[in-house]
Amino acid sequence: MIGDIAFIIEDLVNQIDNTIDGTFNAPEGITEYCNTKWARKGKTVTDSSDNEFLITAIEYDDNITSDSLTIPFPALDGLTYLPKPFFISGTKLATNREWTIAGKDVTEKTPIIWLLETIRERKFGRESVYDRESEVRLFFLDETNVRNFYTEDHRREVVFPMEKLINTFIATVSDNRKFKTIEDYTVRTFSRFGVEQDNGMIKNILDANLSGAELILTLTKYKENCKVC
Amino acid sequence: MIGCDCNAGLSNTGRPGCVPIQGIVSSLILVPLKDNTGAVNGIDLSIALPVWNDLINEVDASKRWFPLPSFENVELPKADSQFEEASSGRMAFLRQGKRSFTGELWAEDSSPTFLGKLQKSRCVDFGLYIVDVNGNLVGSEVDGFLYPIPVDNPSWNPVFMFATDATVQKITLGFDFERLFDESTMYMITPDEAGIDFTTLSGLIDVLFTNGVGAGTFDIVDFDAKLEYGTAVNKIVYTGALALTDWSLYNVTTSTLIGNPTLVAEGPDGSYTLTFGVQATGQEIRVEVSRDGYDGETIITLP
Repeated sequence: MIGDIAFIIEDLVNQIDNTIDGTFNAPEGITEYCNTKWARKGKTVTDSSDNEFLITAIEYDDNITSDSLTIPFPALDGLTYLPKPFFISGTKLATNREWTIAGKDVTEKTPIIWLLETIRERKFGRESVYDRESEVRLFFLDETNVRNFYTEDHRREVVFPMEKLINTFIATVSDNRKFKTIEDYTVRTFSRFGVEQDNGMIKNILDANLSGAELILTLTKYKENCKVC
Repeated sequence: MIGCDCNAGLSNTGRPGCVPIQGIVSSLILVPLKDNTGAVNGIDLSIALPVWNDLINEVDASKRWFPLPSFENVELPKADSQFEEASSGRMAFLRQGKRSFTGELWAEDSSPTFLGKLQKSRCVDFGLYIVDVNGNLVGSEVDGFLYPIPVDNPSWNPVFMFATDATVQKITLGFDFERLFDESTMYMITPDEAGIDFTTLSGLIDVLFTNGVGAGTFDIVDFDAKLEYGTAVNKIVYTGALALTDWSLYNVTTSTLIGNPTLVAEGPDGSYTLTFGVQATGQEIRVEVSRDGYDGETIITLP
C-alpha cells in the first residue's frame, strides 16, 4: 500500500463490506434484512449468483421489495451485494473533471466517497507509536431527483442511506486495528449538494444532482512494521 | 533472577538495520499452558506454521486458542525491581518487578455474559500470545518453539463497569504476568509470515441446546439451538447451520460414531431436525456442533 493518505483511505473504502444478508418472505413478496446499509429505492443490487434486482421499495433496516432483472426472475434471497462506493480524491475542480470522465452512467459511479483536498496532516517522530494524524473531509454522495423530490424526499431517499454508508465506513475503520479508535466525528448533512449561499445551494459542484452527507474526522494511523530490504 | 554467565563478558551490542518492534497491544489470545496429555502448547517454528483457523476451532479445548476482542487503553506497567540496600548505600539486586496488564473491552465486547466467560479463566493454568495493532503475534521463543507468555492466573481480574454520562459500558481486565517470565525471550510472527493478520481472529461462540427430543424410528432428533447472548426474553438463535457437516452425531450408549447427519432441516429459525442412520430405542445420542466458529453439544435420548 502506498503511504499517502488518499491511497490509505481508498484502501479503507475498498474494505467496506457491501453485503447484506436477507431472507425472502414469499407470502409478502419482500426480502427481510436486519441492516439495509446504504441500499435505497431505485438502485440495482445483485445476489450471490450475480442475478440483478431493482429495488422498488424499502423499509430501512427491515425489508426490501425488488424486481428481478434476470430471466427467469428469481427471488432476492440470501447474500445481497450493494453497489460498491466509487472513491475519488481531489480538489473541487479536479474531482468534477475526473468524476465526469469516469463514465457516462451515473449509477455506475455512485455512491461517491470523495476525499476533499487539501489535507492537513501531522507526522510523528521515532518516539511515537503514531505514524500520522490526518484531518480529512469525506463526502458521501448519491444521485437525487431534483425534479420530483421535496426536501423530505431527499433526506429519506438519499441523505439517510448516505449516513448509513458513513456508519459502515466508521465501522470499517474501527475494525482495522492499524488506526486509533475513533471516539468522535462530525457529520454534516445536506439535502442538495452544491455551492452554498445564505438562500441555499445555488450551483452543483459535481456535474450531477447529488445529496448526501459530509464526514469530518481526524484519522490517526499507527506505525507499521519495518521492511527487511 | 537470571544467573550470570561467568564465561562471558558484556554482550555484543550491534544490531541490523531493520528489527521488527511491537506496536500497541490490540488483543490477547489465551492458550492453556499444557494440553490434557501434559504436552506443552506452543508453535513449532522448525516446521510449516500451523493453520491458524484450526487452532481456533480445535476440538480439544486443552489445545485450543481463545482470542479475546480488541482492547482499548491498554497499559502494561512494570513494578520496580527489588534491591537490598546496605547502610553504606550499596545495593544488591534481588528480583525484577512484576509485569501487569490492564485493558478495557468496550461496547458490544463488554456484555455481562462475556464477563462470565472471562471469569472462568482464573481457574486454568494458561498463558497468552499478545497481538499488536499491526497484527503481529508475540510470544516467548524458547528452543525453537513460540510459547504463550505465562500468566499468574490467580491475579486474573475482569471487572464489569456500568456506563456513565461520560463513559461507555466496559469490562476492565487486569492481571499479572508470571513472575519469572524472561521478557528477553519475546519474539513475534508477522502477518506476512503467518499469512494472516492476527487481529482478525475471533473465538468460538457457545451454542446452547433446549427441547431436545428423539423422534422417528430412532433416526431423528429435534432440538432448539440458541446462543448465550441476547436479552433475558429473546436469546439470539443459532441459525443457518444447514450443511450436513455443521453437525456431528455420536451414539453414547454404544460408543459408536454416527458421523454427519443425512438430512438437516431448520424451521422456524433455531429449531433443527437432524436425520441419521437408524439406531435403537432408548439409546443416547450426542449432538455436536461442528461448524467453524461455534462450539456446543447435547445428549438426547431416543424414544
